[in-house]
Amino acid sequence: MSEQRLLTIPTFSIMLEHHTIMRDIIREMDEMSEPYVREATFISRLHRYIQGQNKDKQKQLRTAFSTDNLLAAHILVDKDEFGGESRLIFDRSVIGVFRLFDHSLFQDLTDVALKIQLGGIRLLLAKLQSNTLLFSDSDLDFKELIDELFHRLSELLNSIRLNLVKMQMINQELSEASELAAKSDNPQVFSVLQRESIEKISLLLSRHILPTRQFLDEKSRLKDGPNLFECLQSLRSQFEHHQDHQRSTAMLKYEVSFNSFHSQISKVSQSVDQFLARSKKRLKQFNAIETAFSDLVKELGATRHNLKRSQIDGQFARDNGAFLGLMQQGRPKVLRISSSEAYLNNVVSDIEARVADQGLLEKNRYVDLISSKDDSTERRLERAECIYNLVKQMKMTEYQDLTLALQRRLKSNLPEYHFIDLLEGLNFLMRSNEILDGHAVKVTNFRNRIVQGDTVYLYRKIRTERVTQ
Amino acid sequence: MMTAFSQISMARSQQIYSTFVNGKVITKQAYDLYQQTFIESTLYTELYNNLDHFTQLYLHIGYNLNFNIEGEFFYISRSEAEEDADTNATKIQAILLIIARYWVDKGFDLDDLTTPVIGLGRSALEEIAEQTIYDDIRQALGIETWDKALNYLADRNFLYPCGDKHYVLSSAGMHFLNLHVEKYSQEQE
Repeated sequence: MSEQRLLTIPTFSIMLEHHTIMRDIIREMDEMSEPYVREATFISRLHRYIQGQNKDKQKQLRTAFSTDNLLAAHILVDKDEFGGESRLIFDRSVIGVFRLFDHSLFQDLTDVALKIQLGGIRLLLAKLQSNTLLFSDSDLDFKELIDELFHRLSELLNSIRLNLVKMQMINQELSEASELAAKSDNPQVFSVLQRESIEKISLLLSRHILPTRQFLDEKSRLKDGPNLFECLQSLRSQFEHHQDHQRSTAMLKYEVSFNSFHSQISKVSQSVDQFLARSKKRLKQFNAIETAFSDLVKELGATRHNLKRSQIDGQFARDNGAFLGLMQQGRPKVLRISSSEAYLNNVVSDIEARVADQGLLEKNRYVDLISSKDDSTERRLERAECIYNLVKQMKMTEYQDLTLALQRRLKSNLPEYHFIDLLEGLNFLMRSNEILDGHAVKVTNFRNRIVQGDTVYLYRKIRTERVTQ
Repeated sequence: MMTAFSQISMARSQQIYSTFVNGKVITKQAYDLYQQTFIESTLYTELYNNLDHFTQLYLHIGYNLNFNIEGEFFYISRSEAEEDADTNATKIQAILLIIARYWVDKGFDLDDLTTPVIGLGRSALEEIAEQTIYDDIRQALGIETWDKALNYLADRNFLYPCGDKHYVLSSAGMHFLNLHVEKYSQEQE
């Protein structure tokens, strides 16, 4: 450190120019709740700051902030050694000036601090009430007492006002904190940040906001004596009693001011209260959903380990036990017989088609085939031709179930009818535009069964529809 | 005392039946898109006022009438276990959980999902669709698109549409999420 000494004003102006150093130091002290700063901390903070400066500035800062210089300029009131540590104690008024620059440096009012202030005012009130004083400005004792009273009241008013500004900025800080938390991608970080902000804010509420609010509450009753408003009212009546109307009005103004602070701080405490309740609720919701969601992700993981399972298992739903059995239910089937014209027309046209078909068949009676041992290929070809002819002669109309219609036809007209013949017949039919005769083939999703010997075949119904041109 | 059939509104009973067989729940309040507000469901009131009657009615035709008091909703199920039903429940639960996870991840209050002026909006739906984990789950549920996923809930009255690409959770949907919050709170105590 430099040996050069500076006067108080140049030292202080350098400190003001680089006020962030003091801001950080005061924050450090507030965080530790100590009225002093360790010299080691102070120097390390100073060094960090100095590194970013140019040579000239570095020299200037080293000079101004050297412990000896600060002591000489009365900015430090004391430097003591305690438990092997060197501690620096700044002048309170210096600290007070720097607090003015930054809302965040305003000291939180604690219950104790407020009680001490109130104690001082009570003491002064007791002296005024003791009738030992002459209520005259020419009396020096009285004058000193009055000056002290106004000093204390204005100091109290000011410290509450500054605190109020700080408290009113809490909501902004809270929203910034939760925004920061929301930006983090890791949900665990979010949860930790939320919990920390809840703890911080609960402490502020219980240690500072609520005591201040209670202190400013006109109706609060204190065990050890009158509350602030009772003191002010007594003071007012004392002044009035001695015809000192100016001072009596001043007391009334203080009452009004403190009262307005009470309503403002009540608003802050309400919104903080609500924030806390909301935050706690949200944190609980967050953790609960996160737990449930991680179970879901486990189920998802299970589908990735098992090739046979591509979908999340129903066990997941059973474990949670909500909405089980919820599904579309089958409605009762209605028997589709009616006496409507359309229905009867359908039946009649179906019968007509069958009769016409039978008529066609009668005209072209085919020759029965006789099997022999070595002509299997020929036989199959002949049989295929026979099926083809049967199919060709079929009367084409709008069938609801083409397979069934074809089966009826083949079964009664083909000896040793077999299922394979039906397939062959269908094959012919569906590939020949000539046979289809302007009908379109629709394979539906409705199913039907046919029986061949002991085997039951399941097939999709094929519909033919007349294409109108 | 059982209510006689003659005292039950037949039209409402029919509506209730057709809602149930379509696999939907009936909630106490349904969102009305035209009045822009939740309105009391007449079907729910009918069921609630004649609970014994409807319980018996559905037992007689082979169903259980399920009444959820906290969630304020009804639905029917068959007594025998059916695989389809579990698949449905899985889909509903999983989609609801995805919505809730997105919501709490944003630091929002779950109750806001049931508030029409807030609800689940277009940008939320887009952001959900963008996240891989949610998309993977949707696929593992066998649901092709996010539109289908939301319709799946809306078709069953777990969500009500309250605008273009804007949904609000029904009491039935919220019930499932509350269930998890309660379960978690109890585990913590």
